[in-house]
Amino acid sequence: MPDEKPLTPATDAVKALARLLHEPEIESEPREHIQAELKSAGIDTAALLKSVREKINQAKSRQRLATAHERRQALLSKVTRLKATAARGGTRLLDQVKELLDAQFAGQQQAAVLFRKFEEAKEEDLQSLLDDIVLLDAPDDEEHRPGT
Amino acid sequence: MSELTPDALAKFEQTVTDEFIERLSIFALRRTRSRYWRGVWDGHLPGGNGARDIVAEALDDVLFGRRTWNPEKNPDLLDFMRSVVNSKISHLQTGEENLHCKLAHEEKDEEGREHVEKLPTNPATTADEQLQANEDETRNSELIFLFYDFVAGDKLIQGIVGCTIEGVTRRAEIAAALKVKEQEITNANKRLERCFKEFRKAHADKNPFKSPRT
Repeated sequence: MPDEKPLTPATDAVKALARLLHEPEIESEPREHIQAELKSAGIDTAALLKSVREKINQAKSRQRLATAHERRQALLSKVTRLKATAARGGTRLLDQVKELLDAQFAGQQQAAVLFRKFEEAKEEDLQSLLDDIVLLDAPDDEEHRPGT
Repeated sequence: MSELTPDALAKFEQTVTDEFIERLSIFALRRTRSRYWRGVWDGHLPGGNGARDIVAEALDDVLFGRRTWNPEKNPDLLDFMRSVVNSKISHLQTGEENLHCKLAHEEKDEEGREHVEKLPTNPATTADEQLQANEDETRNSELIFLFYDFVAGDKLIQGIVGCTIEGVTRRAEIAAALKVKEQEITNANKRLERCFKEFRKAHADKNPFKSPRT
């Protein structure tokens, strides 16, 4: 019991009864009851679910794009480093390139083609080779990104 | 502000089923309606649009990272979503009159007319609110004691009403005061509803809160 009498005890009692009426425990309530009440209130849960599903799919696409972007940035940075090494005539360059291509494009035929091109490439060809590698790495989603 | 992690998103997707949406929607609907105490006397009760919008907004908040859901900290997504919905409904209420203005405006009858229950167009001043509260209290005082006598044939229901008049308002506290299990109070809900229905019919002439559309 509260120490002080509320200013509107009767209204507070009615509010409490309204809460009791409209907020029963619902964990064990049969689903049919819930569906009937929602229907009578005009709530279309199927439409609500459809809209949520669409937003979930959009969120998944955003995550795929973010992952692809991160992967692309990481790859670009590696290729750029290799290019710098190539310019200095590094000794293990070809091995490093092969490792990179194997790691990024395992199982893809283009990787072998790119490696052959890299073996034969002159310094000035490296930029176009880099572009080829980036293009090969770009997933479908990336191509559909606005502005690309 | 960050969106769900891939793992959390996968869990979210897996958990949000049709039944999940139903249970969250019914929570929002009842929670919203429980704020409309006039509904007890057959006054205006909001339809489902407000509740549906609140559910949609709450789900968006989590999906777009405006509310952070951590499945490890809050493994029960329904429970978490209920708290988000609850918080949204609470924010809608800055006072009883404000609640009526804000939520009642969303409701329209079959002819598209809005129901605002004789509320002023502008937000009520404190003095207006006080006056309205006093009027409501006088009317509620008459009706609640009339109702208390009306349900004399059902001791549990009368006990529940008596408790609320005494200021004992929580389900668990009412159960303790009446020395019954809390579940019995929950189970009596339909009977309480029926009692109100019969009371409204029997005392329609004494009911100033009855909505014009009912």
